[in-house]
Amino acid sequence: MTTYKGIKGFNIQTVSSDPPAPFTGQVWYNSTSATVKYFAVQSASWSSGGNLNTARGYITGCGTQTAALGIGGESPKTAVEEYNGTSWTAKTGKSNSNYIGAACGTTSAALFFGGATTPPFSPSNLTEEYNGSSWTAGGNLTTARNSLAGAGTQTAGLAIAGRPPAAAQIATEEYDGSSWTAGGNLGTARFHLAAAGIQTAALAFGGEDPSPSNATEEYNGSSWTTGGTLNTARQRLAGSGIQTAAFATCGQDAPPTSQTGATELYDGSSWTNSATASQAAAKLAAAGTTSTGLKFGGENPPSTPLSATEEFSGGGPATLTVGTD
Amino acid sequence: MAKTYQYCVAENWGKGFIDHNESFRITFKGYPGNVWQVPAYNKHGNLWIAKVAGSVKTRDEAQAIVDAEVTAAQTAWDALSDEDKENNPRPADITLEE
Repeated sequence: MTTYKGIKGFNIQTVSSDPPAPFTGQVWYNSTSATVKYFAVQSASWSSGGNLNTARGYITGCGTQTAALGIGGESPKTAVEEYNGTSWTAKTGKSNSNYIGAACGTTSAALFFGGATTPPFSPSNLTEEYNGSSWTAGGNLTTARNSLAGAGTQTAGLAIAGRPPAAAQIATEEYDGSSWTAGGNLGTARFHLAAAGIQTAALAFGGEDPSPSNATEEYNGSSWTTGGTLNTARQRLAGSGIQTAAFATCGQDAPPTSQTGATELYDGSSWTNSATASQAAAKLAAAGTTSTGLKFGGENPPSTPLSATEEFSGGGPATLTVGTD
Repeated sequence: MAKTYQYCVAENWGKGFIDHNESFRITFKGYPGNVWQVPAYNKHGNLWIAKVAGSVKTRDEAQAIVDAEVTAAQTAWDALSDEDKENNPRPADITLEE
């Protein structure tokens, strides 16, 4: 009979508690839990999270994997939900019915801005601030626009690109908690893009120019410079994280537009393909980080509003149990 | 020719529908009509279908479900105003893999 000792030359160590600093490949028997465990590098993966109460496309979001906000959408336009890592709860809706806007911040200090009102379809300059329980009016964007991206915080936010005016497609505006002022212009005009980071270290990626774009640009608080290009050019994607550790997921790739679940990780200079989301989507939202990310809502191919949420685990070293992990 | 994928219909109930252990072992792909693709001849794929009480479909049966969803969406798109069409690209056909 083949034995572990016969293969490895030594027996599995029996311990009463897991080793504090195991090495990759180490196997041990935990006599307290009566389980065989090992230490390995796990792959990145997506798993199902709790479903939104209301399925919708063009939803925007912010926050973390265990404290996220889903704001507005194509229908309903004002509904807001909060995620706690397990389930979504309806919260106070925003005051205005603008959608295809952008958001940033946290569940207790969020910002929603821009978008469009309809009918007739009209770009919006409205900003609303959320304190965890209610929405109040903030300063108006200088350039009304929809299909823009947002980054930063409620008191140091960024509005990036958008449309329809040509000027909007490269414009950046910075929010200080009360008013918006002009920032540096993007090098690549686009809309339906995604962003991550903070006001002084932001990232803008993907979008529609009008074809699906793979362009990435990095912002330092005053100007944009070129970053590594996405492996999959796409529009109506979602992303989150920081300038040196961001993720991009889903969106619509080459025409005729089809939704993708492709996920990529940015390390400050280049994008690397990671685990593909199970449910391809576009017009979705994202929150969190490259180690604990979240995507939710949107539309699947062909154009059905989704309530699905998926949680991203960036993987990495972990203690696993034989038979269950 | 041996098939690469198998299909089932299952409604995503949310948390726990696909967990991380399942996700890093096999690749899942969701399609319209609650159609899900997992690897064929795969223990983990079979276990997942059983877990979610999936209704197993042949590739052609699954394709018919997806086609019906796409056709309905294309018909709805054709009836949109020009303004709405600009913000909502026409749904593309989807072909399931064998």
